[in-house]
Amino acid sequence: MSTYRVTLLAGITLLGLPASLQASTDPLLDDLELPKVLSATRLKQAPAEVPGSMTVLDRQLIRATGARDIPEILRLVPGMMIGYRRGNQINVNYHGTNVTEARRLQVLIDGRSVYRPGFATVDWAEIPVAVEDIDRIEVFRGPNTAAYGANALMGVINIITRHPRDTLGTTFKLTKGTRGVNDWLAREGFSTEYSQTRLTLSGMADEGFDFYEEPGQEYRDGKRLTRVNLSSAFQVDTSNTIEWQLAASETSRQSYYDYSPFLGAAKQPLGQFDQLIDEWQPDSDIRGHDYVVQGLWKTDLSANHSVQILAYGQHMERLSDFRACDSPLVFSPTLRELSALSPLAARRVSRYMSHDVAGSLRNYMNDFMYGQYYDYLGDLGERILQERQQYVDSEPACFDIDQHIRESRYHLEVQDTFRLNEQLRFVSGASYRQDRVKSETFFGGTVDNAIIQAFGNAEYRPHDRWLFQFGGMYEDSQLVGDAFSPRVAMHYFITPLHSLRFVYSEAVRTPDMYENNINWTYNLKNISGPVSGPQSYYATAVGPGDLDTETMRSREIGYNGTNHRYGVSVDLRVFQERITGMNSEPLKLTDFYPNNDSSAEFEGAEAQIDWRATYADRFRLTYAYVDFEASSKLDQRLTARNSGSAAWIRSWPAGIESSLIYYGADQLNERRFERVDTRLEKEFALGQRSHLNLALVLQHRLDDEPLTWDENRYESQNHYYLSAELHF
Amino acid sequence: MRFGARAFCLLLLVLCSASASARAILVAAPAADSPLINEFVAELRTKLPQDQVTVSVTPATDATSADIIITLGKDMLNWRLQSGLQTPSIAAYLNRHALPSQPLPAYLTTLLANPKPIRQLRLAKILVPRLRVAGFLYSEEQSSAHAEWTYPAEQSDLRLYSVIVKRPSNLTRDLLQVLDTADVLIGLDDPGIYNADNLKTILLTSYSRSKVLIGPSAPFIEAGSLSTTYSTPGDMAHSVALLLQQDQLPGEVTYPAYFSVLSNAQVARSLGLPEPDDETLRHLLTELEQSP
Repeated sequence: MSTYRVTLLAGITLLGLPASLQASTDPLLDDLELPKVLSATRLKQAPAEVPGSMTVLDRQLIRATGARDIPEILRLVPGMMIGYRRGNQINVNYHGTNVTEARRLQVLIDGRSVYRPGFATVDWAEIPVAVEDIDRIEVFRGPNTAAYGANALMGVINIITRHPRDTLGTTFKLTKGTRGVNDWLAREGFSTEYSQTRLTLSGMADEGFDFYEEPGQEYRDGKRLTRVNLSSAFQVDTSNTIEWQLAASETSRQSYYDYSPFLGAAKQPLGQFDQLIDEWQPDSDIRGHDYVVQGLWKTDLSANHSVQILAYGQHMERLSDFRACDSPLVFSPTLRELSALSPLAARRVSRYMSHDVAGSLRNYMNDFMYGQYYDYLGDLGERILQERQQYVDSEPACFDIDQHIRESRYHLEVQDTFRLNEQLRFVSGASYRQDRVKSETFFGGTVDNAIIQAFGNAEYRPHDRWLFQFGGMYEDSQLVGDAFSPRVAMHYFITPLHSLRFVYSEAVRTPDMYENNINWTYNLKNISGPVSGPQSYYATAVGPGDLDTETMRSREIGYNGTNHRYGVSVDLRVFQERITGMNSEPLKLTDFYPNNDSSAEFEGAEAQIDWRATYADRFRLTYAYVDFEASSKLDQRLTARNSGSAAWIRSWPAGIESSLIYYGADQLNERRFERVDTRLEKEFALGQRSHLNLALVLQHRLDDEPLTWDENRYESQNHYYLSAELHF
Repeated sequence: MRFGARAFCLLLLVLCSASASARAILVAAPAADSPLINEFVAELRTKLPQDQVTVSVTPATDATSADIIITLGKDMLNWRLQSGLQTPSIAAYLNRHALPSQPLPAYLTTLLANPKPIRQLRLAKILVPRLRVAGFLYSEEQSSAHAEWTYPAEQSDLRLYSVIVKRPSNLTRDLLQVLDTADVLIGLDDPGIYNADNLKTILLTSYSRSKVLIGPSAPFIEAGSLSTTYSTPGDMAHSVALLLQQDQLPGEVTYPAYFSVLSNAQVARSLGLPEPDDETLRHLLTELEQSP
């Protein structure tokens, strides 16, 4: 071990030497020693060699969209379904599944996973990075557990920020527009001889959708956030670099009253209670805080061997507290008993009481409990009906509740890239991660999880025309157990830049803590109203603790080709994906039955064509056809059968850039979506290095459908914003 | 007919020089035994079988009897300029920026070792699709080198965009400025910029923007530059021999007539560019130089 370390150090020192020698330019000294900068381990895999389907959204495309946040940029990815739960809650899903939760996509920012461990989702509205700081977004379409770990079930979105040396100088940007758009950015990049650093302060605000279902009914779904990012790179010597980042963000999201009373107002008010409970609609806004610290050390042991160590810690808080009111029945031991025996029966009783259902309660329960009705449940229901009588004219019971969630993650990863020779290359590594979620309401305290991963990928090129890649990931999670996901890919090269690929992969998603380990009930404080006796809330949801992983098996045949003379690159694929052991249940406090009983299958084809037609024009087309079958009806809604985009980007003389992009999907949650975005930018040079850019973005909806859900409506089909950016 | 006449003249010329008495050619070299010098001399002897080629590291004592002197490198050129001899001479293995500032004497023909601008630009045009703007970074000392690229750029229908790096700490910003406008970066024989310390910044920054570096010389290719033209010792000797087969040395500063191409296939593949075939490229560039 120590011998190895000495050799390693000696290696580093030796490799470090040429840096101190200035490259001589005496042509007689042929043995000019230069560091091998673009070594085999540093070069990106050629597009035709990627073991799967990849979409790279570069800076030009990102800028051309004019998008203010990342999900809007992702509309350029074939097969990506972007939905809005509300204006400040965005849902990005590849191919489909649940419309409100995106549980199956891994999202990384510079290698750091922002997939929330506690809730198996990604807070797109609160990602602590400004679009202006993004260099490119690489989207691996299809399962990729073998390279990115569990939860990369349907794909991986890899957000890569700009290297600090790319953003030197000072930038100010201001964006204003309709729908309350009010964004700003201030950035300073500076360098010393061996390091570059960038500090970005940014903020974003908008009002979300204009009205809730009907005109005039203002929708409280706005958001406001401020972020600070510090990113730095330090070149220790020619073969060692250290990059580190600090980020923090603060968000405030509007939200309606987030409490469903056991007994809401009856359709035909019976007394004072109904009126008071109906009037009690406080807001449940959510405050978010994110903190990130991240470090990456890269070292080249030789031109063919490099090692990198990534370490990060992140902490997220989502805080929401408010006063809720309900019927004093929520403290009834009878209701508590019924809810424990059958949450469904409790829901039926609640509905019977508030909806003035005709007929007897027993008959109603019998009819709507799908064979799970028993007389003893009816007895308890009848008793609750009796108890309710005393509260018809009373005040509701009111109490303070909170839905605070604090999640933290620490991650350490070592990755080794080694090229043995022209034919063989290996990438391997291991990581250790610790996840913690803390919430009195959802978990009754703290839940911890520790995850160990080991991964490897071998590239073998026995012949110019053949490339084989074998990959695998082993993961052991303390709460869920272990899983192994393999991947095999084979490429046949028609020419060096045109390949056919055949890929088989398996991937897993481990259930999150919410699904598996929840212990959800309300700890009520400051209770008021006609309450006596024990004061504990009737409903409790407890996670099963033994949920299994979801498994995906995917097969794909693809083609990737670049013709550089005509500036065309094409990627096509047909795929079949099958997820089994899926948990598709809705998971509410009063209805919490996660299981591994669902499955879904996707089949289809995708195309992506990028054509730099002339020096000034770039055309880009994407299209996805997805045929799907899902056993749970909740998974049947988000998938558009036909979706795609068409873009034209052009540079005009006099510093003018234009882009015109069409996005279409025949049904996103059963609603059509078609939009045309145009962006026009003019650059005014103010000196050799200073310029002012003015840009106008205009989005026009071609249909008048709401977005994803019925309540998500805008006043106008047009939305525009103007931005001014000064750089010096 | 015309070709036949030309071939006949050439044959006559070769025969004349062969029939003439063997010339004493002195190669003034800074070292007696280096692989480069050995290869150069061996190749020169092959190309000029009838001449007497000798190598000397102390040319001052051997020069008086030589008919032709070939100096290798800057130190030997300096000796040659100070020696006061009028012997026709060729100075090889010099970079343009290393030439003395005063006018060179008429007896001296200089063969430059840095790549010929038009060759580099043509090479870039072949390799990079839709190339319009070629970018340059100069150190302040070498800003005058710009002039040498203007005419070749016109000839190859390219626009030049260059930035002078006034302070080393400005390098990155200046580089970004060039990469923002230019489609390719052309490396120069400018040690103030293209040195081992800066190379990582230059290559990684341009690579991250999918823009390539052409040149500045062969050793940079393995480091990550896409491609360059250069002269091997064999090419250089062959070019010297070609000059010596003429009646009279031109007495000017020129580039070697023979050259090779060296490319980095891995870099090309990773950027989705066709893998360059060095021999085909050399052939293509040679044809372009021969067509009027």
